[in-house]
Amino acid sequence: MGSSGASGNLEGEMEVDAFRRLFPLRFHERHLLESIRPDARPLERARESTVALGAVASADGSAMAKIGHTTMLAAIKMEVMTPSSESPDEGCVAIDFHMPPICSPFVRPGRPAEVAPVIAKQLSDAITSSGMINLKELSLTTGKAAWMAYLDVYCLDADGALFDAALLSAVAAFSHLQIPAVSINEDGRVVTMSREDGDGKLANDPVIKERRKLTLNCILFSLTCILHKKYILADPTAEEESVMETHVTVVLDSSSRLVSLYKPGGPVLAYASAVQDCIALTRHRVKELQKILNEAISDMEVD
Amino acid sequence: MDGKPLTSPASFIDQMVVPGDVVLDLSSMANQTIKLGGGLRQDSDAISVMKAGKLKFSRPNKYWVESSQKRYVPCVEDTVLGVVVDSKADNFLVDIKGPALAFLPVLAFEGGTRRNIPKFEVGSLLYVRVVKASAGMNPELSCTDASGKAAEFGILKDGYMFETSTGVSRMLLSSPTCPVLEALGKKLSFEIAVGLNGRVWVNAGSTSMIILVANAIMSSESLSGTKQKIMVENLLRRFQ
Amino acid sequence: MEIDRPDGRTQNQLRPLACSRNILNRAHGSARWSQGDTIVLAAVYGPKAGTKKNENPEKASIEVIWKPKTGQVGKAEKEYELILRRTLQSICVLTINPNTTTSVTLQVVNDDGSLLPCAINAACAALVDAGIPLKHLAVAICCSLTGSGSVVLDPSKLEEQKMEAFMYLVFPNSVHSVLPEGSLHVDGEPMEHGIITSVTHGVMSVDDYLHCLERGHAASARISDFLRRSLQSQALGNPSKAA
Repeated sequence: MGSSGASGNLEGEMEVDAFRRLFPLRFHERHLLESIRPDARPLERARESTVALGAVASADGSAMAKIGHTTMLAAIKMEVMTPSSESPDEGCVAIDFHMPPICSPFVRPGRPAEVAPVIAKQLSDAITSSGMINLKELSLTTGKAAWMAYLDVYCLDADGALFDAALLSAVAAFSHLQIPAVSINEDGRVVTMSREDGDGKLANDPVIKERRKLTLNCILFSLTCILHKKYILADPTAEEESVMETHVTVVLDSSSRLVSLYKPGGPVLAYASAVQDCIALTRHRVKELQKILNEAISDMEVD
Repeated sequence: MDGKPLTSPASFIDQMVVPGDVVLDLSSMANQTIKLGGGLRQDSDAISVMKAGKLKFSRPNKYWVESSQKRYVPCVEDTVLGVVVDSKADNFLVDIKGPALAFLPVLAFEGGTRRNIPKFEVGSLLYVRVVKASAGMNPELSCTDASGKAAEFGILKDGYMFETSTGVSRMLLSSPTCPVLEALGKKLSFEIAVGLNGRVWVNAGSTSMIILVANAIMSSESLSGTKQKIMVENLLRRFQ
Repeated sequence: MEIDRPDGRTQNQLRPLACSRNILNRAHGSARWSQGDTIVLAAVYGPKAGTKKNENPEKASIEVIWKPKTGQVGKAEKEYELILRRTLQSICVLTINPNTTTSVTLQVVNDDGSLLPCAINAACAALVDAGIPLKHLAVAICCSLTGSGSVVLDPSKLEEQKMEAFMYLVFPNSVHSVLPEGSLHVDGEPMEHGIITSVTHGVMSVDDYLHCLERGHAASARISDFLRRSLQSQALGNPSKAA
């Protein structure tokens, strides 16, 4: 905490960088008083975000999302599996989130980051509970074969709002996903056809499903906000997250329904008014992200 | 014990309070000095409770929350029972059940000089006084009273040490003498050393007598005064 | 809108609560909290010397270990640990014992729905038992939404599976205060209406969420009263039960 009595006298003559390191809280509060943040953003503005589809050529669907410096790479690999007996006509989605040591100085080799499994759980909760993907659409032949979609999200640079960037890259990867064509071979087993095969080389195998896109029932976007005193800061950087510890993550779907409102503790209590403000900021952010994603998709189609 | 909000400050005294309760409003008591003991904290104009327990007030101006814990938080001038865990060139390292090991400087004995450093083996039980206890530093102990005399501080040989809660320790040290000690003392003669950190040391003529005293004290925590006496009488009857 | 619940409760009715403290001999503080058949045992050890790497040594740190009833610790348990740690950190006064670690171990005895709220309540009671300095207490409640949009409190496991959405909410306890009425209000809302922790699952409208918040407040006041009574009576050495 940077609220030492001595700081009052020192502030005047100290260099900005030294002040920032020694009294991080004071440094940020000074900015908040002026309604601005250290990176020159207004409080409610998110960082510049970009989405690039098809970043991994070998995957069936992939996307790279950047929110400020936070960079996420998501890739989906489809595999044929036998569906479980409880849901014979449904496919499956397995989601994992990786934080390799390159992403942040706080992640050390050999010691997995504590938040990684939690973000993986949140991602899969949000994606499955929202019904974004119709699992029935992933079925090939009832009881015999269905698609298993392995979604892996890699964090390449962790600079705050990890979940937002991870969700953005995951949603973008799903919208880029091309489900491969499948055929039944002589033994009656379902096999995927590689892209070249699809051109009719192995015409003797009956193609049961063509290559196609997955339809998404809804699109999810999220925004993380920091609550600090009376202020609400949208889309925090890693530095802001470490100094001000109350985070609220709101996930909304395209029809503005609430998919998740996640506030794990934190010294600031969220009252109904603050919750509504966070939701309003997220609504605004959803529009921005929707536009960015649509542009990325149309760019892809032009190519 | 009622669920209704209490409004006047006096009404909290001798009541059970839980963390978060605001027991004093400083804006309504300007120009008064008050002393806060354990379990209370100041949050601008409000004094609020941090631990569950009974709010106590002692004239003229002391307030504290009385509670019982298994863990001890060091406090200056407390007398505690410590176990030596290690000895270094300048300090003995002593476990006093606190968050950090306490330092007992090798010179903190009556007439202590570099020449006559006492030798304590690891595991020795000491009756010591806390002289420094500030957050972020290891507490410091001394084997002398404030005037540098050995008083009754020092090593406790033989006997039996057992751990109870800080509440039991305070009960044993309270005056007038608590019922359990009074009842035991009428029939038996024994030595007892009570540390505010919840450790109690007992020594007596026979092992069975030591065990009886220890058991009586350990089972007295949740009993009222008269029940303590009955319990001691029952134990003594079996002993004789 | 009346909802039939398998155990015959009304929508707003909680399962019977029970709490007993100081039941483990070696732990510095312990508590067993049950809501119906959901039972969690919490043990607190500490404060112990030192904090882990990457933790601020100027503050006390809290570590949470979740022990599931069966099976191995997976992602869900890791998430519970993180939520609990952040929640407990926000109610503890961390500046009093700097450079120490307090560990809280939670053992699930039985899971019959509303597991995380039950664990939070157990952990909070165990912290009080260990005498860890707290800003205030925390009370946790699970609210669930049926397909028709009505709110059902404290669902059992069977009900949880049928629900459209559910959420875990944690609020501060209702405190007794000498301060004049309303002085603890923030933005015209009493302090105990501030959300410490909110975790939701399933899709709902924003209005439904706000509606659940209100119901959650009302229920948390009841749990808060129970917790207070339980803490007060156990100082006298008898476990408490409430229907």
